[in-house]
Amino acid sequence: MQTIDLFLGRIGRLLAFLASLCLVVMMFQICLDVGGRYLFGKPMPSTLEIVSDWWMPALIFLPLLNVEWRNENIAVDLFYQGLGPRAQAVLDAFALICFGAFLALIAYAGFEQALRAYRQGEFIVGMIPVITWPPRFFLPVAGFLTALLCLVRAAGAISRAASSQTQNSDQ
Amino acid sequence: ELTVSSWVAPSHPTIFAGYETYFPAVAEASNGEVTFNLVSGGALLGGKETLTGLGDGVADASVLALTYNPAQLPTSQLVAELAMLSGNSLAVAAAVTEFTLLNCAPCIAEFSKQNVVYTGSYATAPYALISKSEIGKTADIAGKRVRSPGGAWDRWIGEAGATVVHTSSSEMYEALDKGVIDVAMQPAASLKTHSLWDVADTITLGSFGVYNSGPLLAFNKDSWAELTPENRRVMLDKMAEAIVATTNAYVAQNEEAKAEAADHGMKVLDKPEALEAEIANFNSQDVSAIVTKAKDVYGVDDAQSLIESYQAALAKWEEITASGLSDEALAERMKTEIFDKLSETEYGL
Amino acid sequence: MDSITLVYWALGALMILLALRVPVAAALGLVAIVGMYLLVGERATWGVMRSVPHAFAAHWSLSAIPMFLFMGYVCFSAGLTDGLFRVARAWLNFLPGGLAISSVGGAALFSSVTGSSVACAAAMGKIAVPAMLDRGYDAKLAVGTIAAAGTMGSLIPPSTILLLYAVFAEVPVSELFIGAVIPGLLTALMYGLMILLRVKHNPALAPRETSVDWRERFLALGETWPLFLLVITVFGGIFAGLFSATEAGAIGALASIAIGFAKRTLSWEALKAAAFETIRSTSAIFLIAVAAALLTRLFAFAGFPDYVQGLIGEDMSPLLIIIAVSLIYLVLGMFLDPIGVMLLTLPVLLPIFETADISLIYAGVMITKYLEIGLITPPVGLNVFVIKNVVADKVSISDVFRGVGWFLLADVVTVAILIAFPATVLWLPSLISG
Ligand code: NA
Ligand code: NA
Repeated sequence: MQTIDLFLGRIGRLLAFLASLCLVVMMFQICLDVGGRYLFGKPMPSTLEIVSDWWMPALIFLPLLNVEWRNENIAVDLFYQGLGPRAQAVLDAFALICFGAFLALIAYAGFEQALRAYRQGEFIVGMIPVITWPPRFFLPVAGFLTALLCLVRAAGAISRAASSQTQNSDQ
Repeated sequence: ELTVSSWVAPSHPTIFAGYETYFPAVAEASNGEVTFNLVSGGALLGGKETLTGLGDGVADASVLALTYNPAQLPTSQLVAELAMLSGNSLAVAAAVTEFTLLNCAPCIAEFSKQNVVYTGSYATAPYALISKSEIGKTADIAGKRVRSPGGAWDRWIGEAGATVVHTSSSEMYEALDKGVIDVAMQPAASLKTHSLWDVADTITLGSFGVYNSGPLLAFNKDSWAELTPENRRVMLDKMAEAIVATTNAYVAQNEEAKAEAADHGMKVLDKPEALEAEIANFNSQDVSAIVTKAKDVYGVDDAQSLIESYQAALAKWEEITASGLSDEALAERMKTEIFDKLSETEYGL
Repeated sequence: MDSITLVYWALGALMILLALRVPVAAALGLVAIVGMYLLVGERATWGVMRSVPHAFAAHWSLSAIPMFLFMGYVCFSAGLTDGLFRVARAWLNFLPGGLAISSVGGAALFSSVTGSSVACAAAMGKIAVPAMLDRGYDAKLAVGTIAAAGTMGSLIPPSTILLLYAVFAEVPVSELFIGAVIPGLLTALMYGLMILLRVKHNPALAPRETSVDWRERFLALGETWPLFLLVITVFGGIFAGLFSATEAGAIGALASIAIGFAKRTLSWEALKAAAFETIRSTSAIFLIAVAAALLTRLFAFAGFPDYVQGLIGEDMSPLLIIIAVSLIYLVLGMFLDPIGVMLLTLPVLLPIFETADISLIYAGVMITKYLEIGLITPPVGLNVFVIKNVVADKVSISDVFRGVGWFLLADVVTVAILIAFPATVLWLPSLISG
């Protein structure tokens, strides 16, 4: 369990690094587009299409694993802080299962869509034709891995809940 | 009840003219067996994902824009490459519908592969150049950034030495305002519908043709198959009226905006001679470029014969509309020439 | 069970999941998926799940958000923002809660260059919240100020929401933009007044600054010239019509990196950290927005638009219609994303406005104001989540919501004024429409 967790942590960091690169490339591409337009009357071809169809999905989906690994997904704290460790572990497990299930569902659906787009060789035509199917795999890849992480951590939380139960009954 | 999805606002001609004509007509003729529930404004499906969503059964029917999906509909959207051939909106709508339904088997096969049934296309009002500076000849747009809806216009803009920009129509206002684009290629109607007259100074009318790649109401194949043959007959029979109504509404909106343009401080250039000559020249040598683009970009091999077939249909409908038919007579003519030739027990199944 | 009952059950389930501390994205998404499955069956539900998440993400109009986030993180990492607040302290030290009030002013200024409230909250949050916390401001006041002030992003033009509305309602964008100016400034004024009154009443909320002489004031101004240069470039570029919001964000981010390196206050490590924080925030925020977009589909399938139409009687007076619309938007805004709510409701509301002879400009500005309020109402408040994300573990979500409470009160006053005096919206447009 611990090794899977650490391994996913590393992959998550790698995916997040890729997303950071996309962010920087996106920034430069937009700046070059503006610069090219004013200085040379020649903007970067198809900037809008590439930013929308490549960089935005990359920024949004690739970091999913890293965000979840660092426990940074947003949840609403109402009573959680006031609960005992066992109840907290139970809620943790439930939350992780829900999050994993949601991601697994949209990742699977997204995978079907990506596969379809790949087979059709999906592209759009602007100043230059832009292939648009590869970024469709960002969500399925990051989504599945994150769902896996949720599963592993949910198992951990369940065993935590079970062990604190035994401790309680021992006392 | 069929769920109809559209990503445009209710104020769009496809809805207030097309569907407002079609839905009641079908409901009545089917004795209330077929009714429609319209979800507009993209609350169900946005423009880009409509084709796959429709095939997946998210909705039973929807408007489409073929230029969003060149990979899935390479042959069907070839007509977009021929958009500049005619500015006669009604003739174009009828010609595209006849060509796609009767003379383009690969088109129908493409829709079928997407699990979608095609039933006819509308056409918009003629496109124009909306800009801050005057455009009287092709050289005036050289070096400028031009918002284009795709297809033939992309090639024309490219050959004129300008840059093609594809923003969505809702972003045109800001793009023109902020100088992200210098020129918007749009029907005059958008001066009013998108308030472009607030941010532009000149509109150049010309023989730029009309947008012809909008199936008015395509159906999910399973939903289509679930209808009774009698009801499918009704749906086909009523389509021509709806196409004519939509196309006419586009033209009417356009005329209205043109009439008000001067009051909003717009300078209207009506078909400047130099520009017209250059467009005619472009159109006369254009077909070979389309055949090449069809092969290289879209992977369509036999474009030449398809293009000729479309041109023949266009010539036929230009002649028919030139005889000054009433709208009812034109719809009736489209019905007998096109829709009556489709079998309700075979088509789309 | 009819479809509207199903929607109410879905919202109930959503509240329970959120209370059980299920991540917001998962709660929204699962409720939407299960609800759609029950309502329209497997085929259509899978269809929605295949297309919506990627299609929602792959949008140019949202790309300004990560760019402005990046600019904010870089400015912060490079210490460019320290100076800004030295200036605010030096110049506004006479005001109780001066730093919070100047943050509202800063957000109003930022709003005039960005079309997105979330981007506004994100950028301001990274800059202003740490500064206020450093000076010993009450944490709830600090985060609440920025979460709420960020909502001006879509109210003060330019605004993607107003643009979309203009296209839908076919009203001139310029009149709509101008119409939103006074309500936007009124919002800022009310927020500022509220802060002033609260801090006067309870000085512990915001420690008073020591007195500053004029020499020090101008000195502080001099130190911050790089940031002013940046602000002038970005804001000026947009105002002068040189570039769009996304472009301004990208140029601003690049320029702040350049300034940071030139001043030697930005290291490669810090830049890398800023990039990582930017994409993590982007991802966490957009995942929620994607899930909210899925929930919008459930509402659409359930025929919610028709239901809304039924709620508003045919013979209601314009005033009653506006009040009914406020309540509907208040409820929808609790759960859904602003653009989704608008796409869902406008098709039915526009004809109602037209029949009742309510100015579409007025209605558009009011609707935008309501949608902005929805960004800070519990349980799903995107701006609140953004701020929480930006300040990480320093403040809890519930504390941000509590901090925002007072600002909601100020918004109630603002809305009451806008309803009582429609001229606040309509006067400026009337000057240009002639
Ligand atoms: Na704004
Ligand atoms: Na809310």
